[in-house]
Amino acid sequence: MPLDVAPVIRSYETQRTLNPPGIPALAPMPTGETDDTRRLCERFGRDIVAAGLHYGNQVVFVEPAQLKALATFLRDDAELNYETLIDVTSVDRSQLPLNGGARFQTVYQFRSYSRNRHLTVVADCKTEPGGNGELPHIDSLTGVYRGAEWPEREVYDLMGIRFDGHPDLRRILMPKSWPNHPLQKQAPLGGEEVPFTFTWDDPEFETLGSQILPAESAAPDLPPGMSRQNMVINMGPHHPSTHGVLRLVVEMDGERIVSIDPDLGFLHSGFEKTGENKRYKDFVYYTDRMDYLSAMSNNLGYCLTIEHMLGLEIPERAQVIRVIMAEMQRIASHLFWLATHVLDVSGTGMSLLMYATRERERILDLFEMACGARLTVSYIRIGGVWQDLPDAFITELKDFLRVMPEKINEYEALITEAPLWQERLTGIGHISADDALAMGLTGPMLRGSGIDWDLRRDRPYCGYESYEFEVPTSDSGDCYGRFNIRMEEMRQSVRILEQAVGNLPSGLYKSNNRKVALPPRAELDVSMEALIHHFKLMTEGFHVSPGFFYNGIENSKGELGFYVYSDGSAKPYRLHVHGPSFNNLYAIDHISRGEMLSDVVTNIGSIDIVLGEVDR
Amino acid sequence: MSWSLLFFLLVGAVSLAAALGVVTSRQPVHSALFLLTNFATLAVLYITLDAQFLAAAQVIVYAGGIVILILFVIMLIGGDTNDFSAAQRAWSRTVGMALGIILLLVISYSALSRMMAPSEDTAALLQGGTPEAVGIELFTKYILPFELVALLLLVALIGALVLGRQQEGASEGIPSVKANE
Amino acid sequence: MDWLQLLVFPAIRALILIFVLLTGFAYLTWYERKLLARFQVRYGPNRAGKFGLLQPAADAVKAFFKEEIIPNHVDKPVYLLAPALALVPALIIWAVIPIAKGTPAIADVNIGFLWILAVAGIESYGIILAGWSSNNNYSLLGALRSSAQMVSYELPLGLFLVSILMLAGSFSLVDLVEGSRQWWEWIWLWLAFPFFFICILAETNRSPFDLPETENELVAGFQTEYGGMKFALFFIAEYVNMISTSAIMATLFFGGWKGPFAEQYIWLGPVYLLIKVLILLFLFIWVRASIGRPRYDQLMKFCWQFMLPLGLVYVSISAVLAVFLK
Repeated sequence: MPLDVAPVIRSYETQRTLNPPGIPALAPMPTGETDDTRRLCERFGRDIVAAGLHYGNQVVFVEPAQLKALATFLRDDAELNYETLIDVTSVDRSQLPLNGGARFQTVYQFRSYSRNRHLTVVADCKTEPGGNGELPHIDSLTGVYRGAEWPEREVYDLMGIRFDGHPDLRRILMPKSWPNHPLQKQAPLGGEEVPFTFTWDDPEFETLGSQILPAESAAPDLPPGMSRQNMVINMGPHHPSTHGVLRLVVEMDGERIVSIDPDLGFLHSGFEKTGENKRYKDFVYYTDRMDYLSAMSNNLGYCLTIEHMLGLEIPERAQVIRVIMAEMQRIASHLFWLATHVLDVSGTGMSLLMYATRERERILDLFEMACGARLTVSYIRIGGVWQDLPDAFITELKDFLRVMPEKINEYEALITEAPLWQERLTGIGHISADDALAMGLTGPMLRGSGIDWDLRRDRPYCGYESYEFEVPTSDSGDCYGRFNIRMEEMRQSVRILEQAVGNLPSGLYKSNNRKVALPPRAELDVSMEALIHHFKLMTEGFHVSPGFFYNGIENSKGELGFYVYSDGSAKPYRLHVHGPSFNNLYAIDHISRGEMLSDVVTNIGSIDIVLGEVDR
Repeated sequence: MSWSLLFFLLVGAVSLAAALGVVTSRQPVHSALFLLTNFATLAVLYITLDAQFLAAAQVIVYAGGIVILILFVIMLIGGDTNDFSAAQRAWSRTVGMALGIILLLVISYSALSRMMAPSEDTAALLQGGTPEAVGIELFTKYILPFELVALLLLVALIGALVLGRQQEGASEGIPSVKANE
Repeated sequence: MDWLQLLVFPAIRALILIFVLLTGFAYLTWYERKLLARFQVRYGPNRAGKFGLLQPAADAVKAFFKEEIIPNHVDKPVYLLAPALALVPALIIWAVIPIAKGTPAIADVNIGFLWILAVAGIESYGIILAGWSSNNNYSLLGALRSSAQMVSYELPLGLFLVSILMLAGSFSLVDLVEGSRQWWEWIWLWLAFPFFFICILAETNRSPFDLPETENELVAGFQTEYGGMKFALFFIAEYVNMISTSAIMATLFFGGWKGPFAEQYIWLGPVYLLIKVLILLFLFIWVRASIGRPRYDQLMKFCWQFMLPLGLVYVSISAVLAVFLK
């Protein structure tokens, strides 16, 4: 049923009065060239609109008609070898001075693991009039990179861009009957009427409390491709082991899985839309709520993106503190993964659940020491960290690091060699390396299939290049391999932490650049200039020069990427979050087919999803 | 009227009612449950006849095995309640009735003839339905039929295995559970 | 008085037994929660009464006052019958277990072993019918799993029982406990104990063989559609089953009520039995806290490809031993 509501359309706010006259502005075209862009220009000639470097990333603008050919070339050409498509997103440029340019652009992030290259491809969308406005559309890349399926569905759902040739173009996050595509700039930001009634005139309330209304058993709509000949089970959104409000429609023959259709969006909170209406510094608090099990990494990923666009230098001490926090968060997240994975596979009685959460508790205590919060920390801010570490922190952390390796051995002693545990995990949820690349999986899911890739080592950020650590991989491609990888990653994180604690330099804990980072409180009492800076930052925020940038970091679940398009104002014009859980969850159908119902639960645990991030 | 007779009448009535329930019930699972009740009352009757071994065997084999398998099959194929196709075929009803009457006659004849002239064997067995008595009879006098039955069951077992193996590869475990609608 | 002997005394005995068992169930939940908590570095119930000892009472009150909800889509008579059918076998299996010198709980019958097998056979009805009548896919899968699992594990269980029976030479459990055994018999018996215990775990649907009610896949398995007291009945059945099977194992493998001075002071018999049962219950809970769960097909494979051949071998050797050494 389409919604019959008249939403309050607010004019899109960018605080124009505060902005200099040149804002909003289009992002400038890339400049310079690299080997890859040169090769692409040679191959595609005039179909490449522009190519070069932009904020240090290789960027190619391509004619939409040639997009699919370009993607195929990128994947198949021996010299380019971009094996995987990390992310698909889009920009609605209707609020920018377009001068006749296309309103919608799709943005693709390609990655070559073997050559350690990253390439951003941008394509204008063709538009056709139709419906109530324009219908943008572009070729789908699902035929080239299988993993494009879900990101393209997301773009369609949120931005309304149709992908020609997409096998299953349905809404993915928003409800089926949602009246608009929320990320389009004319879509209202709040103020919609809630599409259900709650008035006492409703006849339902007459009988409420006196009887239970007769439940009509209605056969729900089956997802495309499923058959009633088989048993169709609905797992979730209130299922004990879907790790949150995930709903899986599972088609089974006996206890064998025929296919799975995940139904997402129960926790969709519109973070991206919210982010486009917040000043840059204010979005940090929202990142906590996406992957709520690794809030620190989310803070870090966002801040690094913005800092790179600002060209901001981060003090050495802040860098090391960030590494400490990110690695502690990785351990905490892996511990929680371990606890829930064991719980899913082995039942509630299993003691490891409590053992793992016990150690996680210590990490959360440490977070609390540093910033007062345990889960939604917002500790890492643009320019550095919120506050300096308290004195007792390092001693506590050292004590934790002394204990932690023994504890990891303890967990391993409990399950790693246990025959039942091995039986349940070995050979289950198998992904070949080719599939992992085609589906755009990241993190342990990728390393579990034998691809040796870790952004911390291969595209270092935050000074990770100065730490010694190993990147565990496994060729088995199954749940047991991924289990071993995560266990080893905890050990490696402890190793990084030990090095970081050993060389924690003294100095500033946040940038001295008063145009970006707040001056210390004490300075406000004595310096007029500091007061002005404080006032400016708290009211207007800082401006980021026009441009766009994608930056990924390795969080506990995979590559967490932020794509930001700036129009020069104090708010991001377009903010896109690439959540690793989202892309990794795409594999659930592929890896569960032909396995048993119990294995679905094992696979969900092995993928390690957080629904806050999947749905965003 | 003695206590034991009253008890017998009571249990017998339940048994008959359950047997009726088996054939009149529309819902296959209810039929199976009535069958279970019937078996249970039979076991009770065996106990009153001092045939404890038989009673236990009745429960173990029929209640613990057969009816469970029946239920299993009903669940697997869904248990359609509206299947009247058998009732629509007139001949099946006639043939069924005829067969039933023949069975009843045979049973009545054998039971009555025993009652008229109890042989020494039955008298001896009535002395003790204990496991020992049953065992001695089975392994001495009736050893040949016993072994033949064992052989028959073995053949059935292997046959089931051969039939089941054809599906191997397609699915292990429960072969096919259809939607329970 | 004949009818007094026949009806009233057994009835009183049965009532006392049921009362003891239900109390035992209540405190078994407390025992399990406390023990699990200790295994998992927690405290367990400690608010209601000293050491949380009143927790079972609070739970009982809660279960009683829950609203009785019967979903529309269930098969009502079977749905209501199933919890009762689940509980009854758990209780009646006690009838033949000797609790002191010369004293079985209810009756000393000459088919004690068969009684155990028979009751084990009908144990799965409650679950299978609950699963079917709930008219829910999760329940149905749980019921199918459980029926397959219980029917399968009855076979090795029966084989082990038969072996013990052959060595004891009597169907009566009273005779079994009171008869003397040679040292090699004890050793031979204890060799079988771990495997017997595994079968018992599967029979009672206890972790790690709690596949019919795996909350991680099947929500709550066969009891998904049950609430309030009906759910509590299933719960009681599971725990009374644990107590019953522990008592059986104590009787078969560890001399039941026997212990120092139990022959002279007859009241010591139940005490020794209780201690043995508590130790065996500890085993149940220990296993739950430390061993993961196999997958359904692995469980069945384990039964048919390992436990059953093992049982057959054990039976054959026992037969040889019984003939040549006794």
